[in-house]
Amino acid sequence: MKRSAKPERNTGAVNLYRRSFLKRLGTVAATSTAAASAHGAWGGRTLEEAFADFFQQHYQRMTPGELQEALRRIEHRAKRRHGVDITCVDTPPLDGVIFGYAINMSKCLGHRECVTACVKENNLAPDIRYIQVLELDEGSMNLEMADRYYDHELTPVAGKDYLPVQCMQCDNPPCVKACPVNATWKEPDGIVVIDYDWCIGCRYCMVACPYSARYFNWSAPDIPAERINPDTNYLGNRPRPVGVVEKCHFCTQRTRRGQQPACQEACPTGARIFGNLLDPNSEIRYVLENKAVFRLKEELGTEPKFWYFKDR
Amino acid sequence: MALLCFFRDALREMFRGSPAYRAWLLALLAVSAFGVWKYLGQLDSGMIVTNMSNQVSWGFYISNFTFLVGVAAAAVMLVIPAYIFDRRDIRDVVLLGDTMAVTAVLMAMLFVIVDIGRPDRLWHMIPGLGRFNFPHSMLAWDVVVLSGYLLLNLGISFYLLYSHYRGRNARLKAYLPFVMLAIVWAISIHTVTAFLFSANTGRIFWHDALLAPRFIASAFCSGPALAIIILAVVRKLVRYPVGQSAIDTLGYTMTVALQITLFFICAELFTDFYFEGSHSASARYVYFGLHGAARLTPWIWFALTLLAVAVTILMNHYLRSKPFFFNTACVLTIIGVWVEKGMGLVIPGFIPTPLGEIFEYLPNSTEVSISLGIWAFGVLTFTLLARAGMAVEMGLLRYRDVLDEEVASVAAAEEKEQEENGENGENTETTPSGGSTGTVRLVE
Amino acid sequence: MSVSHRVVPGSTERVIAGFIQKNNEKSRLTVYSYCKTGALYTVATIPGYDAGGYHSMLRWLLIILFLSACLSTGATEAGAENTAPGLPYPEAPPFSVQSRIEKPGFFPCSRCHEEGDTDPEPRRLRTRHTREIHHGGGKMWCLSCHDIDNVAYLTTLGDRKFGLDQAYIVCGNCHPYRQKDWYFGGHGKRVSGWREERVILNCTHCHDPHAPAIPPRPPQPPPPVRAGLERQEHHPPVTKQVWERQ
Repeated sequence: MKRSAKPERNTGAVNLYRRSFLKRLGTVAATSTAAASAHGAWGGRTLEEAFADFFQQHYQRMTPGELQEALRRIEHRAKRRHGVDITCVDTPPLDGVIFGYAINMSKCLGHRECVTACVKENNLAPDIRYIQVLELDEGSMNLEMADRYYDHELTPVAGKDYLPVQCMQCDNPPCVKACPVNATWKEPDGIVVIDYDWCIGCRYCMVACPYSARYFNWSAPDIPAERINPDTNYLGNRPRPVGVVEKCHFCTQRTRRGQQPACQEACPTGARIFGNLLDPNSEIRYVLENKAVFRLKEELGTEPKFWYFKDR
Repeated sequence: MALLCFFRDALREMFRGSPAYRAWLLALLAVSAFGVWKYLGQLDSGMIVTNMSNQVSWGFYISNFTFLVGVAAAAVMLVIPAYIFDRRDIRDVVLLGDTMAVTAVLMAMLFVIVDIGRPDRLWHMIPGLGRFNFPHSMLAWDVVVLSGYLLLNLGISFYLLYSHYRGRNARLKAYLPFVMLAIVWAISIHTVTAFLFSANTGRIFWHDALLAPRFIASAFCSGPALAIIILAVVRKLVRYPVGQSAIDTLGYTMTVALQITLFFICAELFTDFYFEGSHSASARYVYFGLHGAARLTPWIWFALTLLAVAVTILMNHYLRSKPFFFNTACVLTIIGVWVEKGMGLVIPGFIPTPLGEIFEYLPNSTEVSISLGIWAFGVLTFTLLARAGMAVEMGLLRYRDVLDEEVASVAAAEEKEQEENGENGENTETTPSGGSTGTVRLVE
Repeated sequence: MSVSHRVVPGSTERVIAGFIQKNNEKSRLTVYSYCKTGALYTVATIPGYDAGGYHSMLRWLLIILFLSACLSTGATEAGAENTAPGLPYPEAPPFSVQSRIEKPGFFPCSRCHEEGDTDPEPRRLRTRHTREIHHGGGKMWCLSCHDIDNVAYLTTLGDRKFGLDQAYIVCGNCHPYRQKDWYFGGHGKRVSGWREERVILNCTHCHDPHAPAIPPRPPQPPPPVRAGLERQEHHPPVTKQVWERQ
């Protein structure tokens, strides 16, 4: 800094100006911080919420109190983003239950009602579908010839079989092994779940999945407010943020309360059979023990809990 | 104190130079800044700004990452002869190889970070604080080995440079165990990266025992090729002693590795195409196109052509003795391996998807911009690190005390001479300029 | 020999009034009864009946005794439809069938038909029965399933009568494997939760008994690709069969 040859004039005034400027700066800083923490300047959140969001622990490590706070934050976030009041609860797994699913390929007529019901029930982003229905040549299982974008006037089309594919909830899941942060794991009731607030979005699980059953939120899901299902749960259909992976979870918000998954309920032909594999009298056990069931890519050793069969 | 001086002197050296040098730094900085700006856009909108999809969920970023991990691993090709075979001529250039390794690992890590959907959640990987799925997840392994390799190389290089900065020889016993560890570790980083891909039983194109050997082989031809180019550039621009024998050794390594790489590719081609089935769908896609989808086909044949031309040059004694052809072969190798291992390996693993869908992918301008930004940042880092390192190695960067001692001893010698010469008043050798900080200009 | 064919929702009381009908052609005495919701079921079938005499009185006694036994033993628990003897698969998990009789719009046949006025001659029907029968490959007609004496009810091959909500017993006459699957959950649709009381749909919920093949219908639209990307059309060539390639 150059030293002036002339003596400083009006030092008193300069000092006064400096003091008042600093005071003004301080006031601005104080009010802005107060405003920020009170009125949510952090992307609409308060400072506490932003901190709590950032430092939120893994689902399996949160105390019940932390989990409840996380659920409230999810509800607030949905209100901010979509303008909808939702409830988000935690649905723990039921005892003595391992879920299984079977599809009767003779009865699947390719209507895709399951796909649509799943979109509505699980608050899916407009470009994500947990269920893909593959149209195959009758009797063929050559997936390279499958068409999932069929757009016929009427289905079923003669000479075609329909194969709905969704997350197989493998008992030996390659995705769980692949995740570097344990954001996905197998729950005691057999469902492979994702903690959407823990996933870092590396998409290695998508690489590892042999059924292309996982989907990534390439952008923040833009769901119209009227289409949002407000009954949500943490490990299931709560609105997901950008940059995380999601997939079918057998509708944990429904099945852990004794209801059927949305796809089973929507199927117009009753091609879907869902139930508790541990109950010997269940429909799913009857199917597995009496019908010629098979699983996709069984030879990979993933032990999927999703079977297919035909009546003939 | 000396440490602080080391960093201060190094930093000062990094940014000192001719206008051309500064222009180079500025240009790299500009490209990096552009990349950063594009990345901020990606952070804002999400990865929808890329061309990746649920079908092809890894793209240009991971392709570059794969290539760069190979380059990082190949620094070991300089370390092995330098220390195990005790080649003094290579010992001089091993530091450049280490710098290349450090830069390559840094770039690889950056490519992973830009590929992550939620980089704000990276702390979830910290063991203890977060949850780290080690040893089950291969990605966790990759994080461990890459971080470890970075630390190893940084540590060894720092120790060597700092010792020389302080004017003393580095104690071999102190750092040789780490060098040995670094040699093994270098192989491991690229093996783990290969395992990242080959672990997936659902991806038949990658689920191949030959993938790890292929990775190592292609790394050991592209890495030394890059090192040769770097050494050639250094030799031209800087007064740094780069022995021809070092370049020759690298050339031999590169040639053999390239031959092995091409052999591995032929083995893959045979296994895929002798009797085709669904196992070879991805190979058919990349080499010949699949059901009308053929965006990568020209690229892979371009890469194979480059590699074939390179290996032809390198196997011809007359041609390889000509620096022009030799350097061209190196450049061809680098580009060829980058295409073949990057886009030619990562992308076809997703096409067709495990459910048989063909959904093609080519990077868009955002991905290319961000990737160029990272590359520019890497070259910038390398330039700066190499400049400071070479200054130390050439004895131009020394700690003040050491320099003062030398100055004092030289001054004492001068005085003695003056006394002897009486009224001659000849000027003795000027002390190095730069004053008390003890630095000199490296190049004009 | 108590019988209970309960239909949900909750009909727990039985109507005792019934009737006994003589089927002269087959020399058989059949005891019918109604339950509260109007479903008809068979209480007992006594073959070899001939009118008059000591045997007749004995049989009448038996019938009255049987009826009393029915009254006293009571029915099985509400909701369980298959636990009675004489009905298939008592070992199947208990279930209730979602009723269709009480649905509005159900056309009671008794509006036009009186007991016993049905013409047994197989023919193509007109007036309100103009619908064609696409069931059985042309070998079936109305009275193959509908009871000739009371067309609101169905008859099995063994001349047992069941209400329309027990159609699954009738359908099982010709489709025994489907029926077994249906009883155990391999066919048909469960409309209650997997943990709740099992409520399943009747065959006729999905299959129109006069044209049971489920007709094609428009599907929901195809899935989208990722936002911002275009769908790509890469179709594998249609592979010809061996005999088409010669």
